[in-house]
Amino acid sequence: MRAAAHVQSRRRGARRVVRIAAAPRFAFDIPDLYDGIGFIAVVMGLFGISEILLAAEAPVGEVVRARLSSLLPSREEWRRSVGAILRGTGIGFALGLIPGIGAIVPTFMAYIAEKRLSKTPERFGKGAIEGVAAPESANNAYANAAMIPFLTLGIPSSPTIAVLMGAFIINGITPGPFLFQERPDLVWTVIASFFIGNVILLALNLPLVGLWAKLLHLPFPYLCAGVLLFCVVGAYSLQQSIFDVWVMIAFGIIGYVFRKLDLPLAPLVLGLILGPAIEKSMRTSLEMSAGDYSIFFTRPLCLGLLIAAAAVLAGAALKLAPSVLREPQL
Amino acid sequence: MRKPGIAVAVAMLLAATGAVAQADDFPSRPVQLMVAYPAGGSTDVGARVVASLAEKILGKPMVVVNKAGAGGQVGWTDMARQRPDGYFIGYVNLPATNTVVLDPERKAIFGIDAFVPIINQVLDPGLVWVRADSPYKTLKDLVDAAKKAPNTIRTATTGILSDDHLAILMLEEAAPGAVFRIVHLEGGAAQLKEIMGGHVDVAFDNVGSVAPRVRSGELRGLAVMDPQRSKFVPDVPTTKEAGYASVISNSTRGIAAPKGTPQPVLKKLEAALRKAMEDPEHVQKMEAAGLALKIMVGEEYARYYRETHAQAKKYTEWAKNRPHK
Repeated sequence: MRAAAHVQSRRRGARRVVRIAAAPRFAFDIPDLYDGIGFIAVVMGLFGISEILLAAEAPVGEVVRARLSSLLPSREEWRRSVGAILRGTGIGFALGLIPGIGAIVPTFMAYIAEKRLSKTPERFGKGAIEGVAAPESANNAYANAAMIPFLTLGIPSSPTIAVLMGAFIINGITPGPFLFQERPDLVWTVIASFFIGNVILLALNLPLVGLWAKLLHLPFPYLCAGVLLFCVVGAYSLQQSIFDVWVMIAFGIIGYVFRKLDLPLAPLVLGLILGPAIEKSMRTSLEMSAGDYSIFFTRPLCLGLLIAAAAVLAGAALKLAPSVLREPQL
Repeated sequence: MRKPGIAVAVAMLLAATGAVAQADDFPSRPVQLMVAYPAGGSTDVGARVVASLAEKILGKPMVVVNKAGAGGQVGWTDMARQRPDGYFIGYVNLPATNTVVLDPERKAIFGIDAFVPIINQVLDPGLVWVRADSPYKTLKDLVDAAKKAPNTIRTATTGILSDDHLAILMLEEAAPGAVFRIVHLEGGAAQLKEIMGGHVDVAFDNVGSVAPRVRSGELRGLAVMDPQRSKFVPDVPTTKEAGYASVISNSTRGIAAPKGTPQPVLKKLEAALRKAMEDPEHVQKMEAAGLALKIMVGEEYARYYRETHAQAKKYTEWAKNRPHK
């Protein structure tokens, strides 16, 4: 249960008891919230609805008149995006190997990393090519890497792959270490399909790019109405529940407020996705150690990651206080 | 003068759609078959096979709808709220449905009587398994180790108050002094990951989840919690052979409808689903997936339903009061 499993640690005399329960938390007795707030509805609200609200406030005559000069990136664009592509690939691939992460995390992380490493971060959000290249590369790398634990170990990394696994099982194929030996024809066909998929993707996108760009020529009110329609239908289609639509609208308002206050939205999304995962891992780890918190410091990988996280935090804190370190100007 | 005509027509249309379906024209539109777990899981696999066959018999599509979350509670809550006209039926997984109802902390808005059982499809016996290179070669090895060092052996379940969780308690009851350190993971895939990584020592799950891997030798099955050996893992002894005959645990997946669904509609659904389940294609596909069929209808299934609930009640209460959790 997402809203469940709260860890309570009480000291009873010399014994410490860790109580784990499958109880609804912060659900305010609304059964629709028992599994937590669905993040797709939230993301649609934060980015889609808030955009519409901002536009309603200050109507734009017409969006960017996109003129397609060429279908291939210019040399300048290539130069700037090579680094972004490589970095995005690395991040996406690494995170794809970890089951249970989901496609949004590597995409956002690649974007944030690129923005952080860029010498001109203010260009992001206004057409900086690196801001597109990095997340896209991360997304593609993730999608392929996520198949690796599935084909080699039989562990599905995401619900989509779990459906694929179900289809395999119905047809008598068991993914796992022996799949490469037993059914090499199947495995290599799947891998070949990735290459072919990329070619088809290119063939689909390049000719149609002009069409998509033409969409921006629509009068803005019609464009907004269309976006709103798709958002509402999309939110409802998740679980055939009107509750998700309300969630989306609520977070649309929150997103609007955030943008007015110039607060970043990406960390909010990351927190929403990673929060439950962190909690679940912490709970399971404490179950494995029977309530002993030292398990987080005795496992080398965990300790290493904690130290790295502490270093990043320290670095960020130091960046915020430059006046302390700078020599006083005379 | 056309307006009143349209109004009358619209009113009649509304009345027609609101009318309760009679068995003669049932089904007149697609039937939804709900699975309270994500797509790709073993319940879902069984649902899709039976739906594809049943829809040919009923003459209208049978659509599998996944409503996952909160260990199944989201799906069952939704089913309990549906109109009992036979167009929305769903899977009940015993004892998971029972424990959701029995655990007061879960605040389930439905009781076990919110559903009328139609037909049972799968009975998946519980299985205790370890990594192939584990020091435990038999169930007795495991129990002895648990007695010698209580609350140290990390034992994985597929969820809080799942059938696996209750099975661990049954084993502790049958072997006094043995205490397992219970770790709740989410599903069989998570168990596989943790066992392979050496983070947990033993897993309690069901035959259907890991049968191919036990057969291939990748994993070792210690015991099947059923009176007879499973044909999917014939080399794994039963708990009876291991000396713990009282430890019988399984997960059943059956189809039910919201309470109040008219009897003629239920009978029609039962007949269609039963015919679909007895179809050779269904039998063969379920066999390939490692899922043992046990078709139960009518009084037999209703009785099984009640008995499972009583048994689940006993172990749920014990789980809540267990000192080590």
